[in-house]
Amino acid sequence: MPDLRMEGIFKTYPNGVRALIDVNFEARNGEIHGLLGENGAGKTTLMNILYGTITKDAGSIYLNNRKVEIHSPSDALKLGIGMVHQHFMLIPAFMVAENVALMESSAKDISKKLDLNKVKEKIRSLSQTSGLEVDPDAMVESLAVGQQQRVDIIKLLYRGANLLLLDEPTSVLNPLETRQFFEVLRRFKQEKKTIIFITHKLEEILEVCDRVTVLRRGRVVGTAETRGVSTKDLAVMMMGAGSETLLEYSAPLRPPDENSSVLRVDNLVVMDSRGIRKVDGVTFEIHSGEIFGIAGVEGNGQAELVRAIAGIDPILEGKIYLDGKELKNSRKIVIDSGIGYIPDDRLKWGLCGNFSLAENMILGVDVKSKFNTRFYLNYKPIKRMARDLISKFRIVAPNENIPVKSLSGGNQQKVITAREISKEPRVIIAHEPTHGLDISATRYIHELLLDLRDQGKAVLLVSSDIDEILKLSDRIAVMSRGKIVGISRREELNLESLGLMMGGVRAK
Amino acid sequence: MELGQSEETESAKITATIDFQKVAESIILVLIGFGISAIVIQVAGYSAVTALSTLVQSSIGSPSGLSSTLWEATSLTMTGLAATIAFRAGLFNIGVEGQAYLGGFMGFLVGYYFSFPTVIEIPLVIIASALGGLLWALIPAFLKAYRDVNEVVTTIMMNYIGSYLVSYLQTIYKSPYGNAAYTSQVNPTAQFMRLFPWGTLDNGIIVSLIGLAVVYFILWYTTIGYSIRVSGYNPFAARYAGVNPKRMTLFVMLLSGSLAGIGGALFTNSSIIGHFDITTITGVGLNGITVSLIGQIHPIGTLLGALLVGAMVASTPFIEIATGMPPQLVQLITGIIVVAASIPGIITMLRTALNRWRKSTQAKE
Repeated sequence: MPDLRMEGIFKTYPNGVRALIDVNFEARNGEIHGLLGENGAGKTTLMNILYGTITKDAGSIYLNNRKVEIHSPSDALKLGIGMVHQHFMLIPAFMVAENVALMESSAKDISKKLDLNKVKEKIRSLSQTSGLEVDPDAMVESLAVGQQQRVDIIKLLYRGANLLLLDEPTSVLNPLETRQFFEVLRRFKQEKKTIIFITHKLEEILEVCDRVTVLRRGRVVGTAETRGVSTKDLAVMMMGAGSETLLEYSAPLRPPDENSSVLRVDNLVVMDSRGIRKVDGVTFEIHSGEIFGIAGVEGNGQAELVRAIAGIDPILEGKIYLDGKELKNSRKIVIDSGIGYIPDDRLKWGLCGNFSLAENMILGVDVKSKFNTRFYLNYKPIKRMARDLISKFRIVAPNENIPVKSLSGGNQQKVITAREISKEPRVIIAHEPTHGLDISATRYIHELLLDLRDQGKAVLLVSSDIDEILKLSDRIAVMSRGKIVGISRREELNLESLGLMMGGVRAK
Repeated sequence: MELGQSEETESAKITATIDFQKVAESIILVLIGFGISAIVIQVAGYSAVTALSTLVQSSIGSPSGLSSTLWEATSLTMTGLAATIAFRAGLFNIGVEGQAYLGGFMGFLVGYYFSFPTVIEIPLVIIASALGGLLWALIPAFLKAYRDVNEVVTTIMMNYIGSYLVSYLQTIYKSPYGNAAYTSQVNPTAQFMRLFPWGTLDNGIIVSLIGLAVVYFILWYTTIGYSIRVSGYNPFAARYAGVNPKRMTLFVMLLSGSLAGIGGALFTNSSIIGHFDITTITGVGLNGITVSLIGQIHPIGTLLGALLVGAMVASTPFIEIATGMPPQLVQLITGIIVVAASIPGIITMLRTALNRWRKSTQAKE
């Protein structure tokens, strides 16, 4: 049974980022050890080194006081170390049992026949002992994310791993699933397995971990027993002293103009390419000077709803009205009618990574009215605008000619936000506007959204981050399986009732 | 934050300028190609020194050699530009070959039937050849835009159809002299004019250079060019930006076809040819694709690529004579050099294709 010790770990990435600086870390046999830190603090890098997917520059790893060399995941697995990544390592077109069978150490031995029935048998028994319910015959692609995660963990158990590294496992789970997942972790603990649990959610650390190690900018801030600490203590450790107030701020509530209906969505139905009704009869309206938040676990139709309103995905039924007039389901018309849209996946939808920052500032912008040109693209005013936005929105970039992919995620998000705000929109749609951002960038984007609201704009905020929704929204809707489960004023809701609604329990 | 600052040192890339690192990359690869060719020649029992010095001598070492290189590069630049603009939009127009046949044949037809003064005749040749190429791109363009049929497959099919069609048509206009398979000559006013008495180069090269300037301008200084580049780099961002993918596909495929068609006419209606012959025009389009890849899918790079391939083509017969190598071996060594030079272009293209594929699989989740 492993007692893990990592000593003096250093890692600098080829691009010069110092990810880990003299990190000492230890995890005891049979504990759940939280690894806490902001994005970019080095949590995942440390675990990837332990699992052998990244090589360390310096330092040593001891397992039960014996020095070990881990050069690849297969080395790690031999030592009983298994990792569940944020993106699951599964083959969608294979069934569960086949995916698990890939972990068979003899899988490379062609002469040995694979007995899939035996694998299925073992999966069933592992399911029973661990509480991770999976159907060995199911196709992985037909499984929900939470179930896929279970398959990924079962794979490791199958291989006999007793030191489990879990990289932000709860980020894909709804509150109910999270609770079940924690039960599983506690069961592992009873079986004397060691769990290292990466997260940036403070409450989860206190709920399930025995001890916690906090990383900040590649250094260990400290390790603590969770019994004696509060979320506030952890927040201070994570962000440095003086930042504990960040967690406490919430939006000043100002009554929105309820007589106005800036954006109205009426009984909207959107179908995906496979003919599934991803949005199934959604109705709501947003007033001027209001942030309307839509919460929900990712994949419940929010993305399709947002893209349909933005004019990207086709609408099957229902209508959208802007200022009482019907808004046609065309991206071009939506752009021209002054709706800002911050998409959820920066580099997929919102930016061209190779293009310069200035060029990205006109993506999805009505250049005809803004730069008074139909055909000729004069870069002078565009670059001037880009420079203005860089300084106005505090974008960290050396100049406007730099390819936007070389900026950090936070600054990329600022580029999109700056661009959409600069359109001076009546309505702004913000979809996961702070996904993957650190606290200071998150706070800045939040300030911008609140600012827009105070200017009397209508803001549609769609986010799977409950804290974000609660901090910003004046009214909150919860979406589950393509439907709006309930709409409430913010003051009428708390985390618990919201969590229940997200699990599909209808509010009164 | 850390990331943004650490990578600030990366060279500030202004999209509209030439990347000298890329040029250096290509030059080094060409030299490596020369090296490998030298070894192959030596191993095959011929003199590498003679072969390579003849290559240089006969392509750029004399006025007439340089002139033939430039002449070869004239049509290749145009078909290369056709490939480049399609690649930029993420379209693989392998049909530049067939489009060049049709364009070349249209150029011949205009020259055969009309004999207006040159100032009218030549623009007519250009317009007709552009229409010919456009026509040949029409079916793949519509199938791609409205039925999402892979343009690689349809354009290759159109290449075969085009090849057989013009092979047949050229028999109708067969030259009465001797037993030549090719067509009669066009009226002299329909031919591009020789620039110098001592070489084959004609004023068709001006058309190519204008084409280059136009493609460059479209790609980097127009709103439609911006949309083309966004569509090619990231189709999702293109949808976000409100680009109509159907209209974009149609526009780019037809523009590419038109350029390829003009490329064909630059060949058939050139000063030293003036007739249509499927056997000599074969490769003008496919070499254009190579040229575009050598040029790393950049208009100016395309010109440089056309010069390299033009030099290879122009010097081939001289190398045969000087070394006594069989023509297949000469083609092999020019092939090695060309492949070496197009590696960066191939990599960029594969990377873009992979990027698009990855993003499209993500979308299915």
